Amino acid sequence: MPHNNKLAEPMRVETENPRRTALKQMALLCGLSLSAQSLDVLAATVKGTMPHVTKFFTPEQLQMTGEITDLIIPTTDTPGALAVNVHGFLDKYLAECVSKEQQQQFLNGLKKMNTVAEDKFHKTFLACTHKQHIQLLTAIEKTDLGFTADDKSFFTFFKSLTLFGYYTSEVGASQELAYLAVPGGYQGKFPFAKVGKAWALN
Amino acid sequence: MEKSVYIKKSAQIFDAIVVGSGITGGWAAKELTEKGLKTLMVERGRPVEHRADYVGEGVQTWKLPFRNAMNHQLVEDQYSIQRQCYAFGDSSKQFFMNDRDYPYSTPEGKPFSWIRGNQLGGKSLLWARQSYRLSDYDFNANLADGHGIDWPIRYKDLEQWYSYVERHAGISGSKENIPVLPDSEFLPPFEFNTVELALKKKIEAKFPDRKMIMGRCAHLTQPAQHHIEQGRLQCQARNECHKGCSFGANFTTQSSTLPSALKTGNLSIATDAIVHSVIYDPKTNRAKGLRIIDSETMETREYFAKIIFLCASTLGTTQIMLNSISERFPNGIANSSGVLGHYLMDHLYGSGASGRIEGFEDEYYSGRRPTAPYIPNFRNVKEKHPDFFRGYSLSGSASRENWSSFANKDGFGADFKKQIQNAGSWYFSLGGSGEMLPRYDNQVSLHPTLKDKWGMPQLHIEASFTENDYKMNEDIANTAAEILEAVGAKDIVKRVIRKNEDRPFGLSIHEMGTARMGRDPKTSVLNGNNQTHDIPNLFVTDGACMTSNAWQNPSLTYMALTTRACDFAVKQLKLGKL
Repeated sequence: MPHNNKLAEPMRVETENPRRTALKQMALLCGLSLSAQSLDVLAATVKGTMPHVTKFFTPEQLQMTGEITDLIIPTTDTPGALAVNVHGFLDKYLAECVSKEQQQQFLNGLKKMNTVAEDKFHKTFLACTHKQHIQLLTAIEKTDLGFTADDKSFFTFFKSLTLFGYYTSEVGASQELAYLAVPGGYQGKFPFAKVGKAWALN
Repeated sequence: MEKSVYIKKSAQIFDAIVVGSGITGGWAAKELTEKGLKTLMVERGRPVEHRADYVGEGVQTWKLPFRNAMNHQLVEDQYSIQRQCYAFGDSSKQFFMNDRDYPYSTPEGKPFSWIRGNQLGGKSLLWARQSYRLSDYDFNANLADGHGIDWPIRYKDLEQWYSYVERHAGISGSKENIPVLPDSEFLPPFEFNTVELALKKKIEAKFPDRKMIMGRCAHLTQPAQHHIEQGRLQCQARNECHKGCSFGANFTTQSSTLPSALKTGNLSIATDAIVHSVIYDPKTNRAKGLRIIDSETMETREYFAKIIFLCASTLGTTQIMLNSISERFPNGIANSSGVLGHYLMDHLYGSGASGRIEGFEDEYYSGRRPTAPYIPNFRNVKEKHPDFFRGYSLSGSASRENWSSFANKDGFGADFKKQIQNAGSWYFSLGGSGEMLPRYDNQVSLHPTLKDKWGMPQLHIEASFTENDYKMNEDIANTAAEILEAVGAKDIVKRVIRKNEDRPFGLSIHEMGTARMGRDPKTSVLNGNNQTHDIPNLFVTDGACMTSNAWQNPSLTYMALTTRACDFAVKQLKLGKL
């Protein structure tokens, strides 16, 4: 075809493990040159830790976001939000995909949670116990303990992003829920028990 | 596709040129080439190869950098209008036009959302595939209530052509014998789910004038031999059609009409060719070709043919015609009537109601059905409604809440996670698709000064809703709520569109009517064969031709009108009359 068939903007498909990418960036900063193999080894050993390079959050905000996502979707018989790095995804998502106003709303919301934690428990949100975290999240939904309607709408926003980040992840979609890429047709009479959990794609 | 199909420069005088490669352009190319005409298809956008260029198809959400969301600034800068379309996202954005490159203007307070494709296949790659015939209730509508001019055709003129396109395209649905919605040639319908079946029974018992049928759509539920020969396979119920379907299970130019046209060996394609204008020959009173701008090099070129079919989308075609100026046609080619650009219509979407259905927790469904139950129009059929003219359909499905519904519910933690895993309650929604009246004031024109980066005058679009529309919207919402109440739904929520800003004109993506058909050359642009009254070898068969709006999704009618017009044109050409 005598044609330069250029897509205006080819879709970016991530092929590299984000942790591996982060390590590579860190290594570059330190003037190291890591082989592909050593990157894999490193990426495997630091599993479960926070990503070191953030685009939107400060390290503290990232940790706090991770904590709250995991309060919403904890590890049960399947991994929870923290384990699938929903906070890492939100760091990228909030940096790129939302308006300045929404970015500010998110940061203000985190700040308010810290303020209420200080008022009520005299420590930062991160320093609070699990029980206190639950008290704080319950309060924000009930607009209690000084949380306002605005704070509640921040939390709804937070929750929608957490659910989005979790249930569109591979674990959320295919382990926690039922993921069927090619259903093969539509069956209208289909007992819930046959799949036993909700479809990831509706 | 064969290399030789794509051309840039050509001195050849083709038998026919088709402008546009979407639903109607594809059909025109198929029909004209199959009837032996050497045909050039001219497309503004880039080529899209079936399968090879469906880059978003089947990519799991977690493989996308933002899970199908996109960079905020990029969307603001380049897709501020296209983003409003339900099908727009990271994995489908390549099939939408870039708003920055193709600007248009609207007056303050009258937003218009112009959703456009910009590639071979046009919006056939994006359409929602709902396929319904019009009936004589529709072809008689203007004459009956005096709004707009009379259609120059009736159902009997189009009936065989509906059948013809349906067999080739493949339309799934059920035979119902409903007077306002003639049956098509059907492949098997999609199934109702258990809740919908229960609701259907209740609705039909309670409201004898309302029948709930399965939405008719251009999907191969059971491909026939001729579909398989086209390389098309059965629908897999992924419902990701707008990313491209390698199964060829839905009707698109790439899956259905282009393969047939290519098979003839009579087709040439010029892509990246923005049509500047139709070249008019005053000596013969014929359209003799096109002037185009190469979108990549900015060069201008000309293509010549004996007949020209404009299938560039309603407003795309109208923009070309308005920009085709000559001494004989100072206000646009074939516009002696002065109505070119006027009588723009779209459908009324956005009003309706939804409610929770109790019980059925043990029931579910498998697969993502690419259509939904449908209640054909029952308003102004037998008796006149006191508040408004014309009618509407209602459509909507019953489904269980999924994870995205849970953000608005209180709760968190292990129990909350379990609730989501167990799927939520059943909800049933009904949304309207209402008919608009043709109005002279809803119009498009060329902007006197603003141009796009290729030097084409921008379109100025001025359209707004009227009392008839708003009263219909109220009735749609009230009636949907009434139905939901009658079937015992709880927590019923109504939605009513009450002003232009609530849901912009155009966003239903059924814009039509700016080069309408009619009997009288003084009040219409096209005759009953989609031929311009003024110029015998110039045809328009996309949505611009529509004399009235009807309440049905229009694409199937565009297809039927196109094949009928091609048949007429080729016969006339052979008789030496064009």
